[in-house]
Amino acid sequence: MTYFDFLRPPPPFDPSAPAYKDWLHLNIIDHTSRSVALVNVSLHGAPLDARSRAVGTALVHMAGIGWLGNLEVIGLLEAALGVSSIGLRNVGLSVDPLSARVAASVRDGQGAFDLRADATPDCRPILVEQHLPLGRGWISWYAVPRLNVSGTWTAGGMTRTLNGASAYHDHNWGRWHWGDDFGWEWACLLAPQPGPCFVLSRTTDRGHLHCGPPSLTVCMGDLHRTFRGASVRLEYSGRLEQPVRRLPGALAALHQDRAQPRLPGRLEVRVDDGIDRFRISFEPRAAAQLVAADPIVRGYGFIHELPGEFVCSGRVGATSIDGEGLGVLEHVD
Amino acid sequence: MSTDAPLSLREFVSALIETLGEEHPAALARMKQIVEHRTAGISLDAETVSVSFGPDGLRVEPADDLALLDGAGATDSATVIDLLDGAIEVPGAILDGRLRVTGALEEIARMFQAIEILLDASPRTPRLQALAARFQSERRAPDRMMLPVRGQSSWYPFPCGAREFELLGRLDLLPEPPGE
Repeated sequence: MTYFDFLRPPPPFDPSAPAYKDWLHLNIIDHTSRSVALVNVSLHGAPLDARSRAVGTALVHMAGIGWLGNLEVIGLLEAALGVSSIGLRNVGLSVDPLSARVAASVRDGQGAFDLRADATPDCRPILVEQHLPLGRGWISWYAVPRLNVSGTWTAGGMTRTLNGASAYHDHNWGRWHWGDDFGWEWACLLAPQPGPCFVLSRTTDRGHLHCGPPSLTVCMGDLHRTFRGASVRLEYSGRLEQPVRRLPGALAALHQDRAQPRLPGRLEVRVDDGIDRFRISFEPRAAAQLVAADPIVRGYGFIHELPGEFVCSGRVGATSIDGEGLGVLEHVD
Repeated sequence: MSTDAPLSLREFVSALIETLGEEHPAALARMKQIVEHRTAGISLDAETVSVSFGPDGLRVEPADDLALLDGAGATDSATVIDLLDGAIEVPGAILDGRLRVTGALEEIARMFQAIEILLDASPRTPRLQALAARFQSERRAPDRMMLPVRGQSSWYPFPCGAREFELLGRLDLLPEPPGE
């Protein structure tokens, strides 16, 4: 089935337009260097409002070295927007609506992180077109759990080809204001081909005390299964003790109280629907905190990106789900 | 990109506070309430100014002796760029001696509150963001290359001596090794 994905700007006279959000996201996982990159371009606020912003984030975490890259903010009206593309000065992400191929470009000489990547879907997408409640608003999303990626990146002065790397892509859109009472937990975990990949998600309140039903999709070869609700159990333990890279700097300075956020040191996911059974253990190794400021009303959200390693074991039908790889856990409050 | 001459520190400070007042009068009123009847000094690179709110409004004037003012902050453009890039954080800049803040505790707290009011307004104020972007484009060294960032800097910019560790160990004040 072909799905035409595109940005979802609000129609004229939409009273909820000031709460408009739309973003394109790409994670690249280089299994060879054990580096994890994220490229995110997002729109915040009504498209014709001069206060509305476009934000581009390009970060890579290199094992044993740390974070490289940066975040840029410009006016939404200054961004180059297409049917399914968002371009800023240093960061751009474009999705071909027909083939679903994703092209990413990062040109950040001073951040010492440059990237040219072309990613082709390698499995069916996940589509959640209905409006999932999120605080006083809603969110919808579309995700491709695994893409094959080619291209090059330069990080810390070293240029690498991305052959053999894995990628994950999603597109989120909806209406909410940062700072409302909501949060979410999300993860993409990818073992090298032909191993499995997983996409985990659930919405929560800001304190992560009241959680919506979780959803976990597993893809491996022809296998594409989604488990929901009580068949998926999440258990967090420990505390990540690593210092946090926080962006943008001005908002990090404003929120000194969030300089040492309480983030998990381990996530165990157990899936059991009475027939299929497997488990995943994920251990973050670092964290970045992206402070999302609402450009229309006073409010802040805190998006924590935690790259790390995972191992998994179990079975789905006749398929063994054993492997290990890299991924990103996202914790938003 | 602007073709105007680079702004001086005096012009930057005046433009930031005047813009805050035009876009968010309530925020400026709050700032005035916090710092009224006080004069703060700001040093950036080789330029020093005093900042106060007088009966006629904002006063930003060249200053020579920061010791005569209620409180002062001194830094350089490279540190401000690093702070805006998130390469360092405020506590790290202070502990590493890149941001020097002097004055009585209450005056320092008031200065930081005034800065927080400005930072809090900036996400909803494109003109303030444009001033920050202009500062970065005018003051960023063209050959600057960011190093990998692990997070906040170590607590002190100088290492502990062996005698200090010996004393802390004798008093049982050293942290437990990981895993114990």
